[in-house]
Amino acid sequence: MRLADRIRAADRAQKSRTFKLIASAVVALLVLAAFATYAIAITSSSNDPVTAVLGELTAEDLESENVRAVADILRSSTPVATGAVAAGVLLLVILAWVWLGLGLTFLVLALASTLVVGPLVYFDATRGFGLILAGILALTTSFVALLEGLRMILGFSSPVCAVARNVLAEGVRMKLSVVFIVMLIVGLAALPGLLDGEQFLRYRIQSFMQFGIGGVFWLLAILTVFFGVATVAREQRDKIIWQTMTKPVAAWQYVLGKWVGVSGLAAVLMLVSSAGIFLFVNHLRSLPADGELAPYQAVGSGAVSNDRLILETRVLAARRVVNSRLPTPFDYEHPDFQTRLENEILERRRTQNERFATTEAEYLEFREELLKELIARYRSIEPGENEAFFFDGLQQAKADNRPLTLSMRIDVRGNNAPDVFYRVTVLPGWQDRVAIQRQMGAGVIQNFTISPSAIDDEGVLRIEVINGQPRFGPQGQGFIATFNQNAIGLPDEAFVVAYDVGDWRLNFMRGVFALWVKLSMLAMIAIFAGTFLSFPVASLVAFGVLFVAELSGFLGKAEDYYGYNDYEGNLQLYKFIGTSSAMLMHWLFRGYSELKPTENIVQGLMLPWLAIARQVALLGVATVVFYALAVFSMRRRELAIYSGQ
Amino acid sequence: MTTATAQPSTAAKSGKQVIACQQLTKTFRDFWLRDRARAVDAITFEVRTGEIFGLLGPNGSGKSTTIKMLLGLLRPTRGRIAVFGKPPTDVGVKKRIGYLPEESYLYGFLNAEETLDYYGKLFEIDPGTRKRRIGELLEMVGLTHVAHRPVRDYSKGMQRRIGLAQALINDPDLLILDEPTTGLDPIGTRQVKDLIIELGRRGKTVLLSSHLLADVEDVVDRMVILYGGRIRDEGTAESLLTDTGHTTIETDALDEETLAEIDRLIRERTSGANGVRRVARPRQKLEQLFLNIVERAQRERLETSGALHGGETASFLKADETEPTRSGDALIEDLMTSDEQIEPAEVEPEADQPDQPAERASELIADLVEGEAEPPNAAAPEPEAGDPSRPPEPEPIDNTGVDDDVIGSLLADEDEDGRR
Repeated sequence: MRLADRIRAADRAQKSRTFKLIASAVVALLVLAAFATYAIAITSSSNDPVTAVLGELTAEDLESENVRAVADILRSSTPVATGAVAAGVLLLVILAWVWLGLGLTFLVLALASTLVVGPLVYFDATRGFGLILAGILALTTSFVALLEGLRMILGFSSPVCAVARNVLAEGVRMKLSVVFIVMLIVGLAALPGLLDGEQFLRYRIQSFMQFGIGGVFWLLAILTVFFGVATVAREQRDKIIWQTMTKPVAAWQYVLGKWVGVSGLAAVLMLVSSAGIFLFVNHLRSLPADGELAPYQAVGSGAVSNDRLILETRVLAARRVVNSRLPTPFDYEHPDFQTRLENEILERRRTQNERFATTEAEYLEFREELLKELIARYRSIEPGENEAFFFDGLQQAKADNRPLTLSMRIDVRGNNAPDVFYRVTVLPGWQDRVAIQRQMGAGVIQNFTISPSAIDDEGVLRIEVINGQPRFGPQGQGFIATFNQNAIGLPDEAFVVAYDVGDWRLNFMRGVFALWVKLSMLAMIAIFAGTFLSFPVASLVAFGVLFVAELSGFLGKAEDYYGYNDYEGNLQLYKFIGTSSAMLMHWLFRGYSELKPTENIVQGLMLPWLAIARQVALLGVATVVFYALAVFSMRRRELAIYSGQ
Repeated sequence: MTTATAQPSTAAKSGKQVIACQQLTKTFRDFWLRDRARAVDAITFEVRTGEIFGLLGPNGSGKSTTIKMLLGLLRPTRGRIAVFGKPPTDVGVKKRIGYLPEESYLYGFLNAEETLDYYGKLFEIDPGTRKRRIGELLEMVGLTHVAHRPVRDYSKGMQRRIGLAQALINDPDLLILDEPTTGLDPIGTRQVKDLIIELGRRGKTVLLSSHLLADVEDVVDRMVILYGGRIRDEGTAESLLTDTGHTTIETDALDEETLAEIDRLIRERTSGANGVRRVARPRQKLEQLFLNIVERAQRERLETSGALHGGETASFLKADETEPTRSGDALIEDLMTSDEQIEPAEVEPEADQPDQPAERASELIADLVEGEAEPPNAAAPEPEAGDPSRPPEPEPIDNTGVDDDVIGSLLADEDEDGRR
């Protein structure tokens, strides 16, 4: 029997039901046996570093809030439970391969990969290359398996499924998309090699997630735009669409099928990439952090290194962010504000213009200005002065007894120079307060660890900020106060406390889902552009939309920074057009720009389902609108052109 | 697909209206909405069930534009179109249509099998039927051995073949073929013609456009001839093509003496008004020569990387798969008729035959004059010399390897319809 015949016979065998049943049983038994061995080994000895560290913690160690916080986090993810999840996922993946009829193919690939990669990893000189190769093989095989799975799901005899399935085939056979897929897989496999081993572990993990997730998203965004446009525009240019649209395929089915295909490809690539990132982050987490002799074993028995503490509580976390509340309620309805407003208007009428704020529009404008001014004035602390701020709804943080993080940035009007430092004192809590004193650069965020004991029984945290550093001098020198030269401002968005409320793994999954939702909307925009424009023009338009959407948060500031009028208050047409366009774009894409999953994941901030659902709904509506436009365009468009002489 | 004697199907002239165009006009405009070209100018025609209808005309005469309007790819500027009584953009109507464009526009990254599978799914054909039809169609168009090669690697002719197969995947009631023989070799051309005839026999409606008139003249029942976007002539193939001013007599080779005798006889009968105008020895057609060469090569098992000689017409396209069961008597009658009719197909092409003896020629002359003697082949119907209403005889075709059922059924129809 020739080799080709043997391969064909093996292929027939792996596609047979008998093989699939037997292989499934064998794989299930093997995975179960492996997991049981692992679980017994872990529970019967101190092989696991985490278990060992937890066992060594003394009562004295646990008095430290930081140690307690990390110990809680580590206890919440026991190795047996983690092992069970890993074994389950592994089993599902292998069963998927088997039932896709690729069991033997992947077995052969795995053996061949081991034979090639094994020796490369063994030698120091080739280890890096071997690991990259292993990463590429793992990502590629996962991608192929997932893609086949999706193709199987889309195997129904319906126009939508047929078009979508065809798009998937096109995606892996068209040079344009294959280039991006290869770049994605190779780039992701090579990324770990670019990390600086001398860095703090938390920075290494943050860098990897930032470049990994961010890079994957941008590559996929570019792929989605190009591919989404190409799959429709080129089909029209090459007239292939004639043979599809002369079949019983409605315009809505065609567009929907294209969208399902493009966003399906993006989903598969996103899933493979994020799984790779997730697994590698877990690998990094198991390495020794700065100040540790071995993973989780800090220098000095039982203590937790600062690097590990920040990693576990701020990076690999899902923290809820709470903005500050001012002691005086600054809002239009408050009687104090209304009195102040009336007095201010009367004063201006008396001193400046007797018809000041007599019209409704002028009145509303002045009211808004005054409120902003009062808030800004409160948030600006003069040298030597202090202001108190409040953070509400922190009952859970107090109950969980986990440290909070205060993230704070100071702004100095007109002088945010990076080389000038300001002395700042932070006093958290209500009584027996311990001052935290820092030198801060203007415009730079600094984090302060705040004890949960500073929260009162109502769940309110009070933080007082002093512009300067009052302290008692050494050897009875008495009270010494060092104040800054300028007032410091505490902007609302950069003066927040955060605390851990959930599992970072789930947060990671939510973030990946949110990114995919963004890609899906981009896919529909690209398809819409492709229905009525040529490939280059449609690509340009779709990319324009992508950049505008990404920048729409910045565009929303146009009104504040650019405005409609010149210095004398006269309306300027060019400013009006520019600012109005920017504000319109901001309004259209605010749902897109407000959803920043990469930032949330990297900074360990919670992405609650409710917030995601709201943004997803907004993006969903936008997607439906573009879908309707694409269908309208397809129905109105004459697909054929004049071919005469 | 088998080669068979080309014969137009009998159009059910009283059949239902399949296509109706009234004052159909298409004007293309430029970016500034100025009239750029009037491709179709107020044409009116209709096609009925079972007809094989030809849209003929030179390049740029409006054939393809008309077809694109019929398929909803273009919107008419004026006039009305109905396909199966509905607008051509109706998705339900498209379920009953098969379309082969003037060039095969296919997904280059798919192979032949995937291509047919894709189009089959668009028609929501169930997996079992789809798989069976794909196999039969690939066999029919001779692409089974290259079914797993990407379509982009196919030659133009092979792409036309897969294009034809995709047009038939849904067993359409209306088949629209735009320049179907373009890019095909003589074998492919012959197969397309046979297929059209086969479908016509099944009561399917076929609309085809072509500027290669020789390729369609022996296939279409009725046609319109377009030029400059307007209909210049229309009618049945017989009424448009029969030359009533001349008579052609075809016999085995004759010597000079016999020819002189015939000339004398004709002059005598017409009082000297008519005589033999031209005497020539017919040449074998290039197409026939080509077919014979390929046939020989295939018998010698020479390999080719291109399309093979197509197989039998896909069974789901043949009458015997879906036609209702006929009565035993009718079947027996058909079979008897078929047996009688097969013989003429076995006549060797004239070019391969040696010259006949002069005696036999004399007998033939006598037969012609007296009109009593048996024709050389008793089973063949006797042509009435001088009957202008009869269309010309089809070209003889080498039927080696021809499926007897197909030919039998074809001949049976000839007999039933009383044509040729």
